[in-house]
Amino acid sequence: MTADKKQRPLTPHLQIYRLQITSLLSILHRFTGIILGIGGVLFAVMMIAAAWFPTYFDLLHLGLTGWWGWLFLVVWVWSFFYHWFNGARHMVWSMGRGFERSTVLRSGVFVIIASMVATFGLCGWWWSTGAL
Amino acid sequence: MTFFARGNNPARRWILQRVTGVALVFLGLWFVLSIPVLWHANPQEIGRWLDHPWRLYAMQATLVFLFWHLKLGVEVIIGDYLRGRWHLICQSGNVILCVGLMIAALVAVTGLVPR
Repeated sequence: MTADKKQRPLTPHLQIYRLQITSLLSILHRFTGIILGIGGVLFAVMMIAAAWFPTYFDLLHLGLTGWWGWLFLVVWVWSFFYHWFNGARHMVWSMGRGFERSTVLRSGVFVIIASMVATFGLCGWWWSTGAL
Repeated sequence: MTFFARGNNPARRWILQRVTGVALVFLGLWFVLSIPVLWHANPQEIGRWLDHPWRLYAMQATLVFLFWHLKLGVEVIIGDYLRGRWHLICQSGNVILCVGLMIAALVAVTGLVPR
């Protein structure tokens, strides 16, 4: 009984199910949420540093705005748009609509394409206008 | 044992996750579009930028809903993957970190605005 309990897989049961577009998108929602959370925590830390620890603010600012900062920002912006579009998809489901197999697949593909277009569009615009 | 995660009403948390999400649909978009202003700004410039009829309120609302939504999301992830002692430790840490950072950042951005 105890040994049996230990063997029990944890959700989302990756050991058992073959990854499909629906499950992949679901995992990506969590993954992007975590990236957004890391960005949010970094922003909060920067605001706290800006208000009370100016020396550390300058140091952190220098450390975060290099090319790696840009790279993280692009990943973060994509995470934002992915979570944003997929969140809207979840809201539609929460209203009890869009559950047909073909609709779920089509809305999933839409979320991937839309998040990429929005990310490339926005980051490209920032890049080309020298906004960042 | 599972004080932070299970003593609550799941339906209430389900609704809260959606309410905070809808708020972030707008606030998040505004925040992302504000990134170019904040990226190279120093504390004084951030303060002057926030010194505007609605910008400080928008930033405060963003921080509240961001950390609220984050807390709810991480709570679900921890509930899915952890059991026993680590479950309790992580759930408690999540609440303490999210609430602590939210309050500290709220006070910080408010203090950045020049008097």
